[in-house]
Amino acid sequence: MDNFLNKSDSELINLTLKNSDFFSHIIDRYKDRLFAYIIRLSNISKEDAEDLLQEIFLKIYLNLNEYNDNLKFSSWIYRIAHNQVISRYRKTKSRPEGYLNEIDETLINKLTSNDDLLKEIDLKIDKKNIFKILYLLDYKYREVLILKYLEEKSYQEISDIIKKPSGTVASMINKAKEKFREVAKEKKINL
Amino acid sequence: MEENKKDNFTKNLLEKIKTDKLEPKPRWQFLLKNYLIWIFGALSLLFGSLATSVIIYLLKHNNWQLAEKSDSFWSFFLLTIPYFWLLFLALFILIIFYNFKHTKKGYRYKPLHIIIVAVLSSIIIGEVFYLAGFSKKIDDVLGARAPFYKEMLNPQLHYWCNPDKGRLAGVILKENNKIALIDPSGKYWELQIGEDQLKLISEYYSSGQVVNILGKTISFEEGIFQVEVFRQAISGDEFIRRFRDRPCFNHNCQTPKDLERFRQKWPEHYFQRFPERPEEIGMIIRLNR
Repeated sequence: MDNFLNKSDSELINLTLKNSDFFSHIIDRYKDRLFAYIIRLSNISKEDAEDLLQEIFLKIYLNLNEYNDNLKFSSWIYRIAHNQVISRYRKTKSRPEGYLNEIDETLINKLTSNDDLLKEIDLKIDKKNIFKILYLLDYKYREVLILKYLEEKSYQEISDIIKKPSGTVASMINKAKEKFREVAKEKKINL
Repeated sequence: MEENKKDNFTKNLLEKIKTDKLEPKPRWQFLLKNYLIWIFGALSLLFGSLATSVIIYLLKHNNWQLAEKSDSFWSFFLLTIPYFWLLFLALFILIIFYNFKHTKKGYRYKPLHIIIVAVLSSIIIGEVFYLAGFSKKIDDVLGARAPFYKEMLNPQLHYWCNPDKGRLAGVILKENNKIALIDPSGKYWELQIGEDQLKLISEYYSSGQVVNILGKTISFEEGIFQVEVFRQAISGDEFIRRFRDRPCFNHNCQTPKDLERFRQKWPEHYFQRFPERPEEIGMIIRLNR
């Protein structure tokens, strides 16, 4: 097992292309991260998130030959996740489904494992309220804040995931922080 | 995800892959898609550059010196810029933009930067095509054959074919001490020209040349036009010369049948005034080929 943990993503891809059983190592490496990303982004139930995660991994498997080393593998699979979440969002055309109310304290702590967002925005907010505010933001702003401060991605990685120029990503993040502050003040959420 | 669910998730997914016999799509499909995007992008750049070369050609030969003598520079500019080719170029710039955006790294560049580079590339390659003579060739071919050429492809001609506003375009005919003009509709114009100007024109111009004339219509019915400014036209000359391809202007136009066909195609008044003209014009233009 250790042997596979040390293998790079590219090595695992090559092995998977020869034998689909090796795909399990890719799934195990990324499923928790992608699961958290989906929940953070779309506030859907755990069951729906799992279904979506399965669709995402199937898409990754079917398109493995498209991947090349010009891009980080994690950026590539986050991009697929991003596309699938948007596609689901468009299909259902619904606002977040309120799963937030069911989230327990442990998961909240996991989902907001670092305080960078709060430091950056300079607001004293209960961690649980971060999501209340995030879900009130437009999808595009919510996503860049999540990628930057909760997924801890660099500007280049975010650019590769959402397929926008780095400069645009930087200005979207600034705009998103402003919107976050505005919404927090407007709704008087735990200030 | 909880631990036992995690294992089940991976197991179920692998099972689904096996039971549904799912296979990764072959690499060639992705490569083909990428190549097609680049090929369409390159073709769009080629067509955009050809459009630019025609724009350069039309603008360079727009007889700008006559703009001062028109109503105003801006009306001259707005009425003679090649809208069709500019729209054609804009369309291909959009296709280049779309294709480039869909290349592997296209998203890394700002839309404005992509458009600027596409426009600059079209201008540079278009200038090379212009210098190589492609633009004249395109204008000649379209001028000789394309429908709506005057209305769409070459608005300069549309601008110049307006005797009411004192503008004429057409092929000149030198006859003894007179100069006449046949416009693209086939109408014969007797040109009234001052003696000095007539000498110069007789010296520098020959029958069959295409010209733009500024002046005043003395009588539309009689076809008399007073000339103020006389300039050779470069673009659109093949359109104006289209009538040469009618039977009587061909080298082998000798038979009475050809002459009769020719007569049917030309305006009646033309033959009433100049019954001998067809043979004469045919001869003059043949001499100048």
